Amino acid sequence: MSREVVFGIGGYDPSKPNDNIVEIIDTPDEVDSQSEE
Amino acid sequence: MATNFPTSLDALSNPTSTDGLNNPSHSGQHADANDAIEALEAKVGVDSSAVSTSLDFLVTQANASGSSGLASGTYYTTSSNTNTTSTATTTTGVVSYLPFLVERTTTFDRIACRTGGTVTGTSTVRLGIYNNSNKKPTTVLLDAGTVAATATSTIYSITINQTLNPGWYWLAHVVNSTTGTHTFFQNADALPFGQMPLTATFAFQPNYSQTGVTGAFATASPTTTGNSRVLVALRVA
Repeated sequence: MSREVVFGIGGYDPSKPNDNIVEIIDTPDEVDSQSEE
Repeated sequence: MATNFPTSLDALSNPTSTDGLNNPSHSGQHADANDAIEALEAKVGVDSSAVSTSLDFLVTQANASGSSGLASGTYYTTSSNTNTTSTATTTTGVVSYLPFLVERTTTFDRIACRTGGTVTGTSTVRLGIYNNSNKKPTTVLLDAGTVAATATSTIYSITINQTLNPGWYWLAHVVNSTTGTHTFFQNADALPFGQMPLTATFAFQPNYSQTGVTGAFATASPTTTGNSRVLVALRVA
């Protein structure tokens, strides 16, 4: 599972709802050549 | 004479001050000039021309996002000579600049980085785009703001609306501050420019970074040492 946390224009802003996080996207992992230490 | 343009260039006769109006023909001179102007207009094309041989049509096609070779909704970063990513701990306050080539005018709607397997506390990570001059980052094109990174193996992105014309840019990443530790995906094997600057002793200068950046981005004054490149990506609108 891969997660993307999307902030609205301007990025992190504690004065906006949810700190300006506008979307959280969870997608299944893809089979690729990426490696992670 | 009828115009030969655009098949070939016309060789129009210029009358002299002593020529009569009938030699060369005055009306013929205007007709030739008018024909040439009309041929030029046809070659340039009207606004939003549908004539496939007109310059307006060809320029529009070349600049259209659909012909950029990049797919809408997909993230792109600089190509790598290994096609693999790694993760590494980045130093707080050190900007990583990743060279990024735009081949066709393209609008991007997100800028993003990805955390690695170690994240504790909260890291305030700033992302942005720098202009390029002499193969170095120069002025700030976009300071997209920050993300608050708190989780491992997570893409953190900021919504942007940035159109980039063809040319080289630098994707910037810096941890402004942190309450813990953080690793990020690296693009250490990115293939930067076609030509790479060398030092006086012919050592490669593949990396640019800048220390002491704990707030907004400002005009770059990079050094050629420091962090390897953090992987920053742009999503095509």
